[in-house]
Amino acid sequence: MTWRHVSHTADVGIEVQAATREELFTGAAEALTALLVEPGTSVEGEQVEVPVSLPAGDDASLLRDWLAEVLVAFELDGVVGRDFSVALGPDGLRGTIRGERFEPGRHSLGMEVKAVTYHGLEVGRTADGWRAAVLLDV
Amino acid sequence: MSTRGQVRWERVDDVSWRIPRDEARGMRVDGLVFVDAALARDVEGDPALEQVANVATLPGIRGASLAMPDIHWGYGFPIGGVAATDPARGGVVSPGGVGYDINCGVRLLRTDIRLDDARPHLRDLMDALFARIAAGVGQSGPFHFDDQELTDVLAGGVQYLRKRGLATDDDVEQCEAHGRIDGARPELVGELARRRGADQCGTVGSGNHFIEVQVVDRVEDPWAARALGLEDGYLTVLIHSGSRGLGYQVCDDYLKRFQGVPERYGIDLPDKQLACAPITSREGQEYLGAMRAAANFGFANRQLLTVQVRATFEAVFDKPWPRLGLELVYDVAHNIAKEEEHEVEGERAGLLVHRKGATRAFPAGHPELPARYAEVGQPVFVPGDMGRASWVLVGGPRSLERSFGSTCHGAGRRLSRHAAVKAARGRDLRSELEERGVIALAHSRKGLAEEQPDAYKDVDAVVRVVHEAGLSSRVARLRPVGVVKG
Repeated sequence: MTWRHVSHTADVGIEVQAATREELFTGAAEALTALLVEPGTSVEGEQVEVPVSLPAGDDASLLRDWLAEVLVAFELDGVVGRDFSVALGPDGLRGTIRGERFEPGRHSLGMEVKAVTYHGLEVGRTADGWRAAVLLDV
Repeated sequence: MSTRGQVRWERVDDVSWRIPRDEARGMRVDGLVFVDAALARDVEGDPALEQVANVATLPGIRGASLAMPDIHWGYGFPIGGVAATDPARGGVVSPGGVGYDINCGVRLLRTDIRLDDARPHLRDLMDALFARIAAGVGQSGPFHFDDQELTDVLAGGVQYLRKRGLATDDDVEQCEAHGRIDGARPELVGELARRRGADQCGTVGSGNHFIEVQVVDRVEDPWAARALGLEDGYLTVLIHSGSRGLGYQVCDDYLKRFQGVPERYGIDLPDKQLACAPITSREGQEYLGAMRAAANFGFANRQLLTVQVRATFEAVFDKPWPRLGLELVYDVAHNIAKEEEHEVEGERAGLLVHRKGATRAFPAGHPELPARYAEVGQPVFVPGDMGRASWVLVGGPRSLERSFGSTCHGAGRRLSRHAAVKAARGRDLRSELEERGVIALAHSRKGLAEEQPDAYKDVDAVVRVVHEAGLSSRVARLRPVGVVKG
């Protein structure tokens, strides 16, 4: 699985490639977290775990909603995700965000992400797996 | 995004270019972009122009789909876009025409403090502002509202804060819409939005939001400057922030809710991001009720930031703030949809004016202006980058006739955030800014790099266009001496 950040004039996008749909989702969550908190500044702080449950929907909407959960867990409860797991089934998404609590002064704040947008939102199959593109309003 | 080819546009005069109405694109009106020749070259080929054309397809749009000289690409609507829709002609409201940061805006405080007298205290002042004012991410603000109080903020904005002793009569008077938009419906602001907002009222946020201490650097219109309480060499404070997580979540919730709504009303859109509903529909009315509540939260946020700025000045200069003359000049939104009466095609009409990255700029004599600005026009603040300058303008003589009483809102980005960070590699931006006479303090090192001066267009060029177009008139240029960022 690989992800990268894509530059727009005023905003930032995420592109992910993965062998499975589940990895696509966890990779996108890693890419989002790397924007919220500067990578390499994670510390062994208070460990937290947030369960996520989303009703069934199309892949693109599910990915957007999953990332919105990662964003809100960080913004509301300071959860800096380190390890994500996702299971996708007919009932929707069951996932977990595991990580540590943000500590100002120990973590270095990245950028404020306002929202995970629907603009240019794509999830699709490729020859060797899955690919996703998401645009963030920052 | 539509792939109907590049839009065609033509020069109208020195400061405006027209995208002629193209029926094949479904345009109902022309597009009109306020740029001079140099800015036109920058914008040419940019998807933002196609977005101006796309907005021109919205049902009930009147006049033209407008864009200000700080135009750049946004979601559905361009940033710098203005669209007035007419409820009597099936006009629509579009959450994308307001944006995620509902009632993002700016307010300016003036002071009786001369820069020369303040110089020995500037470092302490900036350190104290940085220490006191929370970014709002990983850090709550000093104000906590319980459920009922938050409802009161959403319904009452700055007017509620006045009842709580957190705003003066002048703070209310000197605010767009007197700091409270009528018709707010707090019950339509969802639980998650409320949770995102509960601890964030009175926090600045990061990104391009800031609190800047400045000096009046050049007065262009001494009479207007006097009316606004501004004088060469004196300090001012510019606050740029919006409705924080609460507003972002309201937009998010309603974009989700608006999926499938245009189809239900038979509205054909060239771009899904323009999702909209008739103003008079239940969906449209509900979004507007929630948006007004978020807007009131935005006004209250900037007021609570003002409370903290005043307290910081009091501590550093050891005087109560009224003796430092730290009064609100004005507070104005630049991401909002407002119900306003305008003259269009020879008749008066009640319109919904979407301003997304555009500022209201009513001219002298407009009935909505506070008494003290009745003769001078509505103050407008245009933040530039942190190394150069910001501008104070007043509503211009032609703003009502040309732009539904609107003008620009900033310099507009030139470099992407990544390009800006790359350009900052191996440099010490804080020292560079200090050499330019600006003390810059930021919670995020990367944030400082993203917002460095080179990332922005020259605000002077943007302001020259709106001045010459008669949308707003130059009053004074403000030079930053210190900036606090999230």
